[in-house]
Amino acid sequence: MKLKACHCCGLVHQVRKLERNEIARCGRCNWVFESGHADGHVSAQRCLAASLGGLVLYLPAVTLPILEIEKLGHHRSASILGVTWELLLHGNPLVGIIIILFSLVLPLAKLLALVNLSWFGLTHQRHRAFTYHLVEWTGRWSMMDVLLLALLVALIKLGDLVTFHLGPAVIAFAGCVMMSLVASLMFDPHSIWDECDSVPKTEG
Amino acid sequence: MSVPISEIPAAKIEYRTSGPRSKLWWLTGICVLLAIGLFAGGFFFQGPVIQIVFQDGYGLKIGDTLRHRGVDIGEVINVQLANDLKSVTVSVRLHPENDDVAVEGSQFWIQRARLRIGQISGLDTVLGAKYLGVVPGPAATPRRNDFIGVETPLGMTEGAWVSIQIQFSEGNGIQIGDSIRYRGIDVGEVVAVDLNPAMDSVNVEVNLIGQAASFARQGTQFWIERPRLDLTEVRGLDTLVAGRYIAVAPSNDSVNALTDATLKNDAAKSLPVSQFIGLNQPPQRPWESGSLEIELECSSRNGIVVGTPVMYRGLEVGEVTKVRLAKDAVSLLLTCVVQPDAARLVRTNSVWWFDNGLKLDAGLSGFQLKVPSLSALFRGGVSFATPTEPGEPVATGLRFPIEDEPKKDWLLWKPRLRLDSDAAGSTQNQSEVPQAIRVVANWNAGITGLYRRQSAETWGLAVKGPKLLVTKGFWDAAVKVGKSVELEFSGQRFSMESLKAETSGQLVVLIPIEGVLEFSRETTLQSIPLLDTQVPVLIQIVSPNKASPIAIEASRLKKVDAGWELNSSITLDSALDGSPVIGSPQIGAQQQLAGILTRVDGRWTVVAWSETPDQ
Repeated sequence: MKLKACHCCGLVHQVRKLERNEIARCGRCNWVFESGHADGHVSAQRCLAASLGGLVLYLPAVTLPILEIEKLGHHRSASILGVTWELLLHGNPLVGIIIILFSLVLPLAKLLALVNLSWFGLTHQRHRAFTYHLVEWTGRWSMMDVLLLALLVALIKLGDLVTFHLGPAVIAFAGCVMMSLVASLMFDPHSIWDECDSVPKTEG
Repeated sequence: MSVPISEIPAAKIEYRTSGPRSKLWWLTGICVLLAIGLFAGGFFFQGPVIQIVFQDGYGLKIGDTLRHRGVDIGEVINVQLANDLKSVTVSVRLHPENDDVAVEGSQFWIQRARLRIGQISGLDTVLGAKYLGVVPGPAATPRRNDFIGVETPLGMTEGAWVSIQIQFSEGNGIQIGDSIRYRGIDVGEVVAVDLNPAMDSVNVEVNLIGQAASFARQGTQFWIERPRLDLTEVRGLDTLVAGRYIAVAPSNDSVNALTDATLKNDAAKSLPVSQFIGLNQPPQRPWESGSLEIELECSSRNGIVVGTPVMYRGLEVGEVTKVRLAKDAVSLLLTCVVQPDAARLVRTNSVWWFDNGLKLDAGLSGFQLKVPSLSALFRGGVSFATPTEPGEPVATGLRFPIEDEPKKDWLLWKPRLRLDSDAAGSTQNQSEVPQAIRVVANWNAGITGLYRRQSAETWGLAVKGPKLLVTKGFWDAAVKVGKSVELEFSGQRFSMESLKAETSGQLVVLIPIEGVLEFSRETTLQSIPLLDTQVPVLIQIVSPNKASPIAIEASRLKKVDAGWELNSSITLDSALDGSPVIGSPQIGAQQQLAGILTRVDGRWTVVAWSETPDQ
């Protein structure tokens, strides 16, 4: 028998050890706050699957051309990596650094951290706690979906002036963003703590 | 104060209602496949890469397209200078479905704006990007991946290139991209122009394409055609607007031709001719066969230059080709060439005089100013006249004296001289060619008081009588219009009622009820003997609209009741309706009148004309 608080409304409950297909609901807000044995493994695996998928799609998203502009016969095709590189070298280095940080580095860091987190049994609990904090923090600051929105705005506004084609990277980009979302949804953070609880205590 | 454990509520335990949750590895699988698919679609389904060597890049950039018939079929992926800095190599990746453009004989060029007087093209590249154009080589030729680019697309695409060098003493503004022209079409282009190392001439490198590659043989002449507007010559004016070109006159000698084969085996027996010396002036135009060349002897040049026209009654019939001193320098000799059809006008007793410039006669009785035509003012002229009793025809080379002024009675001579326009054996035959007369029918047509004059035209023939012969189709149409139709021909006007019509087959003979038809002196009454029902070997349709008769062979004629029907594949201008047709049973025999050309049942038929017995 252990004490656990519902993470929705905060009410503390007594919860016994649950069987495989049993769930515990909060008495006050009816939220499911505990699941059966080894359920944490399932959620971790789902998170791992989604984040690996996201990582795999990250590569084409940044290297393949994301848009092709044609005006009066002048063709330009740009990939995210190529555009940020050009921004750094020739354009505004500040803007380039911002884009690299928030749209390239942080999303990648989040995906890697998720992979790390959901790889059970490899790391110490404290490390996993740190990683989880990292995931939460980068999740707030990664703005890949903002970039997608910016593309949409450009498509609508420039469509009259130039001929606009979305390249193959857009699919990969959207997929990466979606996988990132799915992975963080699937992860159950309490599974980190449950691991620790399975370690027998030295005192009663 | 701690909370007793009994006050802490117990959680509700339920069974999970939803089934086992999937592990989502299938999602990862999808992502991997997607990534692989996107990469593979990019890299593995690209088309082949070809290399094209150009002399000048013209600002082509990576990303510019290759276009054929207005559709993009490839992209430029690299533009690089060659190692020796003398050419530019452009790498183009073709779309996979268009890779059959990369065959032997395809021509690639860089489309750029060309703004020369007389040639404006490629304006979309002034603001837009330059692109490569291609004319693919013929199908089923072997593929290749490297090409030499051309400056402009040429009309002929088959055949190999041959590169030759022409040395001119003056460049005259020839540029890279100018064309070589023969008989009015482009057969090659200039690819390089530079000064000789010795700085005394200009080397022009030229590519000849297609069948013109065989021009690279001994004896072919090249010259730069440019506008010449001086007092001796007016020519080449088309190059003022359209740009200069190199004209070529291939030699008749067919040995030593420079072909691809001779290029390939260097140890060939005959030396390939790839170096030419260009001419400064166009070569002497060869005169038509039958031209008459005569010499005129005079004491001073009187402003005569090469190209001065020779005139008969003010009409140009030849020109002066040479002006030189006689051997003993006592007099000047002018060599004139008279065109073949006027050669018979020159007789042994013809007289010649200078006919140039204004003539101003001033005397006590007043001024008289005679102004010749502007070209005569410009170039001067030599005129001749033949007495009313003409002498013998002249042999080539006869020398005549030439006077400064014509005597008064020379201008009054009016000899009747026949001009022979067809050379094929008719000088002996003296065959007459029937002259058709224009017949116009006029009438007023309209409704409710708004009348408009309408007219229809045809050709008619004057026959013995004198009577006028017209086609039945024309006459029937005139009858259908009504009584108000008036017929006009030879300066006379007749109303329908004043003409009597006798129909014979598809032809109608018209006789005036009162009075007699008068025809001009030129329209000879038809006295050519008629062709009987033998099938003619060759018929000729004689029409005043055309300089020479239209000849049709017997194999395209079919005998029908009315006469001879022409094969339906022959298309003739409908203005030929009513033209007389002559024919002969054998080649070289005298031409005889076969009939009149008209449309019977929608098909061109030569309707035989047979004179009515009482004529």
